[in-house]
Formats: sequence, structure tokens, C-alpha cells
Amino acid sequence: MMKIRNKIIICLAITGIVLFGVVQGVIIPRNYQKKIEYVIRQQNPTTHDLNSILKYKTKYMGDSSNIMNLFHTLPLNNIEMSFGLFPDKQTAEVNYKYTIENINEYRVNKALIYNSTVAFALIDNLEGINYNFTGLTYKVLRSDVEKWYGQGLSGLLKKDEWKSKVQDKLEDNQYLNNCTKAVLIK
Amino acid sequence: MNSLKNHVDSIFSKYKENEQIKELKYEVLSNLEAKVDDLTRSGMELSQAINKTKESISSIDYLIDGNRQVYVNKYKREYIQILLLYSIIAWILTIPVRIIGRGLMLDLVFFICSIIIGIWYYILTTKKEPEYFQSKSFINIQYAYKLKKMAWIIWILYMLVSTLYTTALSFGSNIWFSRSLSIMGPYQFSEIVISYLLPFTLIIIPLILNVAPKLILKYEVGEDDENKE
Repeated sequence: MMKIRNKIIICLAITGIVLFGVVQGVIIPRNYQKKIEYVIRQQNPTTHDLNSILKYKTKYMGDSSNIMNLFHTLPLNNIEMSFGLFPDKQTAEVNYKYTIENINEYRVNKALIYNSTVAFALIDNLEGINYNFTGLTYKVLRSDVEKWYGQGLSGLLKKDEWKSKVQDKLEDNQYLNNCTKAVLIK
Repeated sequence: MNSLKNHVDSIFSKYKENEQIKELKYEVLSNLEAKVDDLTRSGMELSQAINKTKESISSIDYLIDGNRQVYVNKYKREYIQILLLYSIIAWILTIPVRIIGRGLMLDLVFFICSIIIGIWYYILTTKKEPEYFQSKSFINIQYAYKLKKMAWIIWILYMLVSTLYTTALSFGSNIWFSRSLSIMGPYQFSEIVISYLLPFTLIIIPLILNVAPKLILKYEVGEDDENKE
């Protein structure tokens, strides 16, 4: 019995070493790479993952942790920011601690349009967002965004619709310029 | 006679004082005192009688309830082998859990244990001298059963608490944070399943203690028909 057990131990030890090698040397590095690619995709409005933010859907804007967590999963989340909530005006304030020139205006416009669409689609009674950069402020109103899309924003929160009506359109520079003029108030 | 009492105390010193030990001590001391009386009555010097009586009893292990004399090194070698087997199995089971970054410490502990036990077992297998394997010692089977029972009870309680804790943490988000649980995909699902299963690996402790009584009976002196392997 002990001899059989010895053979089992040797087989198991070899299995363990091989499994450990596969997990540590192949699967974990591959997953890590995928994770990095995912984080990079989350920085781009056109590749951002809608599913990752649906959990922040709420009727009321007063939950500061909800809105902070939401903005920390949206494009521009790599820039240091602080928040302010003004429930009486149903307005939120996002203060980015950078100048627009430091980030790139094209990237900022694209991200602000996307982030505003997300925030208005997910938070039912949020009516306006002020984005404060060093030296410049943008104001975005729900009414302008709804007018731009021509529909209620929560209706866009379906994978295909979101992709075709929100994300893919932002690839078009002409569309982006027109939308910036219509939605982002300096 | 004080030296007789000291001698009895010393041979009982490795046993915890309980009712059985107290009674046994009293009985042994009385028998030794009677023997000294007999020897002195037959003309022997008191100090010589005490020394002779002391020499007549050097161990009381065979008098203790549940004590079994076993081939201790054979017992130890097989026990370590089973310990190594269980430890490697536990290590292998926790390796895939590394993928989602959980149980890293537990996996590392099982890995280190497997290495240490493996070396220990290897050293034991290099010993070939017959007299090494004929070495005998007493092991208390009742204590082994008691330990086994206690380990199972503690493990079951631990599993209950751990399951309740994981349930409260995973599914109580509605109560604690007013946010319902959302399982977005297989990754999150596997995280929850692993939270439940990870504490289960500690079953290795009662399983190891489960082996002791069986091996005591297997390697008991006098029942050595299968001990010569």
C-alpha cells in the first residue's frame, strides 16, 4: 500500500508542478495582459464597456459615492478629480486637476460628451454637469443632450443601441464637432 | 518513603493529572510501599529495599487506559506519507484559484508544507536499519479519537460560520449598501463560488487526524502480521 501511495505522490507532485507552471507562466500573464487592454479600452469612449457601468443606475443624484464610482470607471478617470453635488439645482460638478491643453482638446470633448451621456442615462434626476478644468469650465445640460439624441437617454442603455447611437458616432470628427457645439457650453 | 512518592511522580510526569491518573498513582504508590515493607521485613536494609522497588517499575504506560504500544517509527513513516499525500492534493486544488488572485496565501502554505513534509518523508525512507523500525512506544488511542472528534466539530463550526459570513458579504449588499447583487459574468460567479469553497480545503486538518487511530491499530505491537512491509 505504501509503495502504491509513493507512486501516487510522485504523479501528483508532477501534476502539481505542471499545473503551477501553466497557471503561473501562461494563464496569469495572459489574463494580466487582457486586464491592461481592458483598462486601456475603458479610456476610449468608443470602446468603453457599457456593462461595467449599468450597476450605477439610480433614480436620484444625491448618492455621492455612486456618482464618484461611476466617474472613476469612465474615460478621463486617469486624471485626478474631485466632486461636488448640488441637489437643489440637480447638478453635479467634476473638477479635473489639469488644463485641457495638457490632456488634448479632442480627447476631452469626446470624453465629456460620452461621460455626460452616460451620467444622464444612468442617473434619472441629474439635470446638469459642470466640468471644471484649470482655466476653463464646461457646462452640459440634460435637455441639450436629449435634444441631440432626439430621445430619452435611458432608452439608449441597450448594448446595440448604445454602440450604434452613442459610441460609433463619436468616431466621426464632423459629428463630434457638431455635437461639441450643441452640447458643451463653455 | 518520600523518595518513593517522588519516583511515582516522575514516572507519571508526562500525564496530565486527572481522576484516572490520581487513582493509578495512589494504587502504584501503595503497591510499592507494600513491596518495600515486604523486603524490609525479610531483612533487607530500607534504602536498599527502596532502590530495588524503584528499579522494579520504570514505566506505567501500559497501565493507562487507551495506551497502545506501537512500532512508532513505522507508524510515523506512514503517517508522514499520508500527510504528504493530503498536502500535495490540497496544494493542487488551490493552484487554479490563483487565476483569480484569491487564496494565494493558502496555496503558498500548502506548497511550503508539501516541500517540508516531502523532505521529512524522504529522510524517513532513507532509514533502512531493522532496529529503527523495531523501536516501540506508547500512543494513546483514546486521545487520538478525542482529537479526531474535536477536529471535525471545529471544522464543521468553522464551515458554518464561514458560509454564513460569505453569504452575508456576497448577498447582503442590499441590506448593507442598498445595492442589489449583480453577477456580471463567469469571473464574478467564480469569485463567489471560490469564496465558499476556499475554507473547505481546511478539511485537510480533520482528515489528517482521522488517520491516527487507524495507524495506531495497524502498527500495534503484537498485531504485526502486516507490519513487516
